[in-house]
Amino acid sequence: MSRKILAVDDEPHMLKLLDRIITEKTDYQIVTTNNSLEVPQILESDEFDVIISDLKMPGMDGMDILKYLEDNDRKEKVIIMTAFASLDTALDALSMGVFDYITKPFKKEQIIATIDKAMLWQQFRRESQTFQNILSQEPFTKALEFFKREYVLRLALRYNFNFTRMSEFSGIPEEELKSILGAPN
Amino acid sequence: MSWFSEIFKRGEKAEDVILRSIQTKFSIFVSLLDRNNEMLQLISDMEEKSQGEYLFDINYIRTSIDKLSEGVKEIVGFMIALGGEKYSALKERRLQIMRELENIIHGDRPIPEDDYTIPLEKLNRENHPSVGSKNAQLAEMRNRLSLPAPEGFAISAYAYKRFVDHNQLQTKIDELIKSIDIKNYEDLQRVSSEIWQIVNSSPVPDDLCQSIQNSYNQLKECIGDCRIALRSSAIGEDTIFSFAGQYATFLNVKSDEIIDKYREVIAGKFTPQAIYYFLSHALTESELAMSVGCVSMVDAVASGVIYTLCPVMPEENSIVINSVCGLGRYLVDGVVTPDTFRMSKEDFSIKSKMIVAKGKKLVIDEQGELTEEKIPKAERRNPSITEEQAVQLAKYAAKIEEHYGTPQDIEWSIDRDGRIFMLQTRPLRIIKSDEKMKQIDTSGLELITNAESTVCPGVGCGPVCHVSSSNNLRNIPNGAVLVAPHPFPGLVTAMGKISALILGVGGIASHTAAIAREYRIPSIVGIEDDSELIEGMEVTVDAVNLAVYRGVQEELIAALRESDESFYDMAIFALLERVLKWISPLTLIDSTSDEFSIENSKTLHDIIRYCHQKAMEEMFSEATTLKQKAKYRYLLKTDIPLIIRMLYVDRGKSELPKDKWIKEEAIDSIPMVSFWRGVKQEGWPTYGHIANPKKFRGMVAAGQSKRGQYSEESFAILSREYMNLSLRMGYHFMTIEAMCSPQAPKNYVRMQFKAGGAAFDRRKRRIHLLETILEKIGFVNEGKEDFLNSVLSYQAPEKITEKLYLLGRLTMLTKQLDMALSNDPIAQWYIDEFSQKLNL
Repeated sequence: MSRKILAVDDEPHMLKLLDRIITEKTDYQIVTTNNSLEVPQILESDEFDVIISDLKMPGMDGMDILKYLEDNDRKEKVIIMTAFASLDTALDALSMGVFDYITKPFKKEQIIATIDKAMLWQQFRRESQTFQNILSQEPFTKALEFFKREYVLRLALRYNFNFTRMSEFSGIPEEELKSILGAPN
Repeated sequence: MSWFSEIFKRGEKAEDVILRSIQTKFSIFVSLLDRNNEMLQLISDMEEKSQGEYLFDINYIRTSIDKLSEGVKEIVGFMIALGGEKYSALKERRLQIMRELENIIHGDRPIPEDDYTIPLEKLNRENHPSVGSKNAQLAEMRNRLSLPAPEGFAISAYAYKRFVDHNQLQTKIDELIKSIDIKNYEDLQRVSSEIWQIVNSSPVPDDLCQSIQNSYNQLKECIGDCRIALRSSAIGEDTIFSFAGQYATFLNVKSDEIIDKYREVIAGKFTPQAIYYFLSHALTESELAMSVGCVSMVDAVASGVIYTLCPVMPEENSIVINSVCGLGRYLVDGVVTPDTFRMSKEDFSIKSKMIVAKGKKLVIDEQGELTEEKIPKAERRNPSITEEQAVQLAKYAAKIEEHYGTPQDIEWSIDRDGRIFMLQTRPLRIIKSDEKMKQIDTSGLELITNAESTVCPGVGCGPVCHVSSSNNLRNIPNGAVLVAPHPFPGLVTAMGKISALILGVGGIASHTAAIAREYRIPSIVGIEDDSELIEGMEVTVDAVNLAVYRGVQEELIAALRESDESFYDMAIFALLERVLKWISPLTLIDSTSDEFSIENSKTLHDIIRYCHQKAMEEMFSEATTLKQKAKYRYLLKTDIPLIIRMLYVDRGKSELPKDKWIKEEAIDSIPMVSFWRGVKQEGWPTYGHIANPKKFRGMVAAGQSKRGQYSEESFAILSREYMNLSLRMGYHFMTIEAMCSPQAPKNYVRMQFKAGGAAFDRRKRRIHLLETILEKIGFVNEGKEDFLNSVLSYQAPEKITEKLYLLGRLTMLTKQLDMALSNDPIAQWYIDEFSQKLNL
């Protein structure tokens, strides 16, 4: 699954630079806009893992975007870019749920490391959600069933849907594996 | 000097006044060094950012320049406080450089007062602040290069100002923007169209109308009844806020339409994009100023674009001519695919040509209206220009490139009589392609279609999305591979979110192609049939090998990922580079040369360097002249037979030691401690070196018996980090000045020495000896003849203390040595001897 970034800054040059390094140095997909007013519309039609946003912009600023995400129960993590001068506000932003902030100018590696961290966080969040989901099932047999499905799914990804090998290593009969994944026999 | 007398009136003692004066000057001096240090750090920070490892925005450049401006202003102020009005020319020099920087950053030069309309023959490229780049370059080609160009005139930026002022537009627009709370995109569009309405319904003042009409009449006298093309020529199009290529051009304008169309060109600048900019950047009047070019229409049978270097394959070193039948608009708008001629840069021969089928053309019909004409089937494959014309165009293009010194992007037309007209030239943007990218095994991939050419190399993937007009642009999914029958202006707005672009027709010369390259969107053109590209299907576009494959081809993407990570082609980097040219190069190098002057300071770095040098000199002379008058409060208690009076300049009375005698170990000046450690290491010299020991023995014996009898008083002006030590030993007068702070750029050691006593040649030998050894230690000599003036600067504190220690030792080793230096071999022997002793 490709992981996506939305970058928002009223400065198109900054966006071009971000677009360039993300595309060149990572596997993430990036979408950019230099008009923060477009953000709700972009979010309506798409989901992202990470939003990199300038703090101070006309229209919606970085904190407005954060609020929009909260109000709409969105899972995107926000990284705020800020000039050194507005560092205090950036620190405030952290307390309000911003994932991290980065002061401009920054090194290529710095922003990539911050994004990687946010992506990892998102991955952990999804994992944890999966397990929350399994553990909250009642009765116990249903939880087992959910677990088995998740287990088999990961097994399949590990062995690239090679059912013979999946069965050999897991000890679950091939037929059962196929039926769990809904694959044709 | 009134404060002097006032103090005296209060009954203060003269030496106290002098002490305070030197303390004040010293604190100014230290502040200057502090600023100097900060500014050098700021400059190197900017240089670092220009190296391509950092992401920064326009605010970074602005803030840095503001800080530099303030810092250098302070330095200049300190310099004048230290050295007096003879340095006041620095103020103007700084302002001149700041003005250059302002011009680059803001394009914020005032709109020059000029005629409302100016004929092309009276213009050249230097007139761009008045008539915009497009007009100025057209005039340059016409007047300086004597290339054929259409007749016409420019409506100046001053005319724009007249129009705006007359209708109070700036205020109206500012107020409108302030009063409206823009919450969403629709609001923005609404505001933008309101502003457009206001501009477009404002009357053009009578005098301006009259001027335009007169110029048109003159044009008519010159070339007969004609229609004209109205083209926007933005001021400061080379600045960072240019919205290039998005302005209106009106072709074939009749005489009674000129005023309306002129106003429409002006109104066209207030796009939603520009309004959004308004919200965050207070764009100045001149940033929005617009000049308009009015040139006679060329009744074109063929038109096109020349790149003096292929923007996609620059290594090929050819001139590329794109040409279509009729007017050039269909080429730049990408409506039709052009013929392509690749010309040799050496002999202008045709290296290759690609003649494509051209279905239609835009022409001026018999009634003088613009119309699209079908090209009969039989003629479709005819070349749009002859080979002779291609050769001639290549020659013109080479001439233009040579004149400007960089690759150019040139527009041209050929009229019914076969006459060539050059219409426009501007710098060309080049993308490097990587040869090794082309060797990838694609045999296992499912090919959907091939393309004719690439407009921007690279590779991108995503779901196919077909668009045909600006109306369906809003629903483009993010990361889409956009497929369009031809480029149209609105496509530009999708550039931020697409991953690749496939165009049915068009060429590397269209505006869309130029913007795709700017955004680095992998883009291909020339797909005859796009029906295989099904809406929503995931595809991978290989814009290097001109292919579209089914699915997301990760390996191909990884293999073709751009290896060129440099940002140098990005506008923001180009801007920083341009700015740095006025900031960082150091042209004032040799402080002893006559060239070392305020007038020759070309950059802010030069000004800083100049002030640093002169401040040291001023402080030095201050310290050496004032000290004799002041009452020096402290004496150094030492077994070295020297009387050293000491003055502290960094502390008030309450912090000063109580006792008049200060023990060596109680000295708290870092440079003095280091230097004195060296002095003590060698000790007061014995006289094995002296050629005429008899004469000296007597003197020295006396000196030892009664402290300081043959040494006049020496003086030390001290702070924790500073020392100005004037040593008098017999006939010699030597000054050592040093700053040793935690910040390397503030630090320096200067040794000045004027030899005395011995004959001139001996003194010179001694200077030579000192110079040679000091050079080995790392000093740079700036003195002449028998005057030693050696400096070492910008070193870390531990280096400074180490050098001072060596200097202390050297001072003792060479004391009164010139008496011994009767010939050069002896001098050389001492050089070797001392170098060995000091481990150099």
